[in-house]
Amino acid sequence: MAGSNKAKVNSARETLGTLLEISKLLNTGLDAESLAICVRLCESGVNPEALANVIRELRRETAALKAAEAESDKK
Amino acid sequence: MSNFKYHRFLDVNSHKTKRDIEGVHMKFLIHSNEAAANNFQSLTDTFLATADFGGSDDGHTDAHYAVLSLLLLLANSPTREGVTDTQVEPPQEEEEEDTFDWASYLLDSDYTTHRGVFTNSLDWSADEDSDLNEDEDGEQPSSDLTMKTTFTTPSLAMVSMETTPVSDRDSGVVNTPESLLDEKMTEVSSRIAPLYWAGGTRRRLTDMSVSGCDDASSLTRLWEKHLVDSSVMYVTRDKAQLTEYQIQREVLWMLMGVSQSFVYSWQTGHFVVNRDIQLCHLTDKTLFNVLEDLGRYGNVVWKLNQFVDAIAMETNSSSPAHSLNDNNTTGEAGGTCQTYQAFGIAISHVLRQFKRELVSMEKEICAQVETATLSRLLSKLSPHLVRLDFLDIVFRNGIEACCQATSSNAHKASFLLSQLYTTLQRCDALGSTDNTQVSFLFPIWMVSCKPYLDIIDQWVTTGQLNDPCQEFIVRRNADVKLGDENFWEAALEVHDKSDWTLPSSHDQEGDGGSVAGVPSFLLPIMSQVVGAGKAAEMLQHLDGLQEPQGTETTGTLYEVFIESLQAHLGSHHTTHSETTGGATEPVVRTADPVFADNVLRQLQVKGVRDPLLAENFSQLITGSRSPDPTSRGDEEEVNSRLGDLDWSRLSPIKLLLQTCLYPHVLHCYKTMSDRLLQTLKEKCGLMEYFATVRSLYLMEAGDAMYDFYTPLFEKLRFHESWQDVSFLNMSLREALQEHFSCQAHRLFVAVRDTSGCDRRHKEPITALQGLTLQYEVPWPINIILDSGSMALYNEVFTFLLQIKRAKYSLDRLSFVDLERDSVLSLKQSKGSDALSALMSSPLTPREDETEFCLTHRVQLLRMRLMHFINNLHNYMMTRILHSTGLEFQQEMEDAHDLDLVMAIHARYMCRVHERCLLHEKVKFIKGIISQVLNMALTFADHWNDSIHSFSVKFLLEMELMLSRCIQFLASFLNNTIKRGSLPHRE
Repeated sequence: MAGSNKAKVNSARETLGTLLEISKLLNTGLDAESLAICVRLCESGVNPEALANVIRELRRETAALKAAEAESDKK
Repeated sequence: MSNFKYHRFLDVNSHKTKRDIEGVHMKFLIHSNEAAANNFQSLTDTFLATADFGGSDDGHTDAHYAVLSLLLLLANSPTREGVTDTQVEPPQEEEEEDTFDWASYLLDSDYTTHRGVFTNSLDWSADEDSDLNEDEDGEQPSSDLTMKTTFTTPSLAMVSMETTPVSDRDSGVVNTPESLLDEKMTEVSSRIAPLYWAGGTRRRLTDMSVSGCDDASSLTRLWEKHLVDSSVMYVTRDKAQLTEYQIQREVLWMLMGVSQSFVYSWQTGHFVVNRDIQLCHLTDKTLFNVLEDLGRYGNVVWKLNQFVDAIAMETNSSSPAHSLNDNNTTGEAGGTCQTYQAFGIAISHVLRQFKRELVSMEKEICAQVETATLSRLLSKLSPHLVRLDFLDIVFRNGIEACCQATSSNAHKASFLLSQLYTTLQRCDALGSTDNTQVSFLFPIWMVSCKPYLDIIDQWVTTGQLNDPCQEFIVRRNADVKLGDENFWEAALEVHDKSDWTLPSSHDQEGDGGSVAGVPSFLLPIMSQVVGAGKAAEMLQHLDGLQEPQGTETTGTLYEVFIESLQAHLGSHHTTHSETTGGATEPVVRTADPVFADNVLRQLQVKGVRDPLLAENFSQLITGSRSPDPTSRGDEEEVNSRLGDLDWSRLSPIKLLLQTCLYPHVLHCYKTMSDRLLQTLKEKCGLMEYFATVRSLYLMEAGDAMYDFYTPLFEKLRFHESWQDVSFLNMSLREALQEHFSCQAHRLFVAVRDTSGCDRRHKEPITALQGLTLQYEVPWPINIILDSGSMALYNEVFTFLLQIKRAKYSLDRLSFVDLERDSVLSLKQSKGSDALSALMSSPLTPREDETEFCLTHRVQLLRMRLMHFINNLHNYMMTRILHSTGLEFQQEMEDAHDLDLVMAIHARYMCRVHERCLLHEKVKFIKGIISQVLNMALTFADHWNDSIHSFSVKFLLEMELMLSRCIQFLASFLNNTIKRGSLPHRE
């Protein structure tokens, strides 16, 4: 049981590795951790398009925040 | 967020995801990133095949596709990433780092890493799939460049302080500002393009690795690298890196005539391409070839501009009043011929359009909305370039070839027109495929022809050859006055004939050069034009031009030509306006009068009716709309009318001219000739003069001439002196008094001294050789009855007089004389030794019989002579002179043109001359006849003396000679009649 579990974990890791490669190739800007989260979300039925939108929204917001901080720093 | 909240997303579509994967794979391949493509393919395949993912045991589940589609949606310019990820180049870059230090050291901090602002926006957007590029565009370049900065060499940090501020902005890294000023400068500089002309983008090719973010855009670098690798001797040059947008704009400027730019420099009359520039995606050679080709057109434009400027300058300086509305006044004192001016105006029109086109192109390029590449620019320009080519051909062949030698305006003008026409014909010969070129060249040709046609028009309608610049093929010969009998032949002369030999070489090559200087399109009708011109001039002096003419009501020749062109081709105003180059122009221009009308209407509404004001308004409006000094009112109208022509129905040019131009000229010619002939016949009495000449010189008026020559012959008969001019004139006056009283004062007799002539003239028949009848024919009849033809008439007159004299001498002989003479001699001999002699030798019956026989023979001979001479006389007077005269009269009535009249008259003269045996060919017959006439005169002399002056031997000789002559004439004439060569002698 433990062996099969281990095999499962291995195969999951391999799959995640593959996905990470693909993500790098596509230059998505996701690191391993966030990719794993995304995969889990997708597995649980989240619509990928919606998820992509959310990620982009979040990125934009953070960028805006950073810019604002930088502005205030300058001043 | 609201978008996210309320939007309903579709479920994952495996097919779409697969397609996207395929697309990305393909994109990697297209970007020459095969490794990444294969990697990507295998990874996705592996992933999709993975079982036990998302709680299922199979591959290819929705969960698989969901994850993949998420990744694809988040994808951010994967191909860009691919370049950096392939890890192919880093080792090379490591190598180049060494050279980099050297370069920066050697270039003494002139080095810059900037690639130009435009390239940044170009690199990505050109061919990226929109599906994969859903990031905001604003983020795009900066993220790219941040990535790039990670690959810049460490030494860049050192250089970045010295580079232009633009590169600071481009690199996306804000340098720590030392002062506020620096920052402001940075901001300002970041918004302007680098000063590439000042060396702002200068760089060494081998150091370009930093900009190589895309394989497609690093062609130059790769090629250069290849060259460096393959040849030890190859030295890379320091070149300014431009963008295609910049180069395109420079090209457009150059085509507009800007002589100094960065890409092109103006050297010794040519645009020379700057070799120190490069594009990142074109090899030097390609770029150079393209630019050099375009530079050639720049030369053409520059040359044409120069020409137009020179013409405009000369026109302005020659007409101080700037009265440019009238073509005729512009060239009044100018050295440039009007044809050149018209051609210049046509060219300037074309150039203006071309510039307008260039400006609109530049606007498009500046807007950077569409992709603009050099090749696209070339294809956009190509129709204009073809036109420029044609203009260049015309200019080179038509103007430059002429300018090389000092040649007259006439030569220049006709040569230019011929060349234009030849080029036009060549275009036309290409058939319907090249209609656009014909429609482009034809208006130019038309405009250029205008002065020429105007000159012709004025000449053939008013008779004044108004050619201030001496450009018409012929000019009025000032030496030949109107009253000259040579007027018709010599009034016009061709401009310096020596000129015409010059263009012969071009004629051969150009096939259509001017034959003897006539513009080739006028060649078929040139004789008519000249005829009509001369006729008009004569008519003007004969007061025949006072009545209004038909042509005046229909406008000038040029206008009529255009009208018939319109009728023939059909014009259209809106449908074709985009395709014909000149059609957009008239639309604007036709608006002017409308605008002026509006103003006038406004004035009238207010109750102001001031024609001066109205005139000023219209001038103001047209003046403000057309600021170009070379544009003229009529030119605009002509252009609008020419632009409206529908070229799709174009027939061959020659045919077009035959239907549209030649008929008008021919009509003009016909009207003029008809009227001239009518005037000559009715007002000047041409036919009466012919009749007088015929009746006097050809002795048709037998009674009057009989009165004239009888006293003369009487004097000759008694061997008295007849050379008394006053006596001869007196008898002529008396003879003419009755029937030709009105002509009597024009006629007088002159006697030429013929004593010094050769032996033949000593013969009795030639006694009257010196007698000539002088007829003072007034102008303009003496154009036809000129001195040459009068001399011929006189020859005939002399010959007829000889026949008459012989006939008269024989007629006057009476039997009484012969017999009285014998009685007289008998009486005289009485009382002398003669009597004794007579007595001693009485008239024996034998002797009596002999004398009777002799008398009889003399009488017989006289009859034979009389028969011959009477027949000859009758034949000459009726068969030849009368019938020929009838033919002549018939032809004269049918003649419709002075040239023809002259030809008919000349032919008639020739015929009469020949038939009166005065021609060289039939001289031997004349000789025989003269012999007979001589014989008759000698015979008559002897007869008058007495019968005793005839000896048997003499009589025998005479008889023999006469019969020989008759025999010869009979056999000869029979032969010729059988041959049919002398039909009039039958």
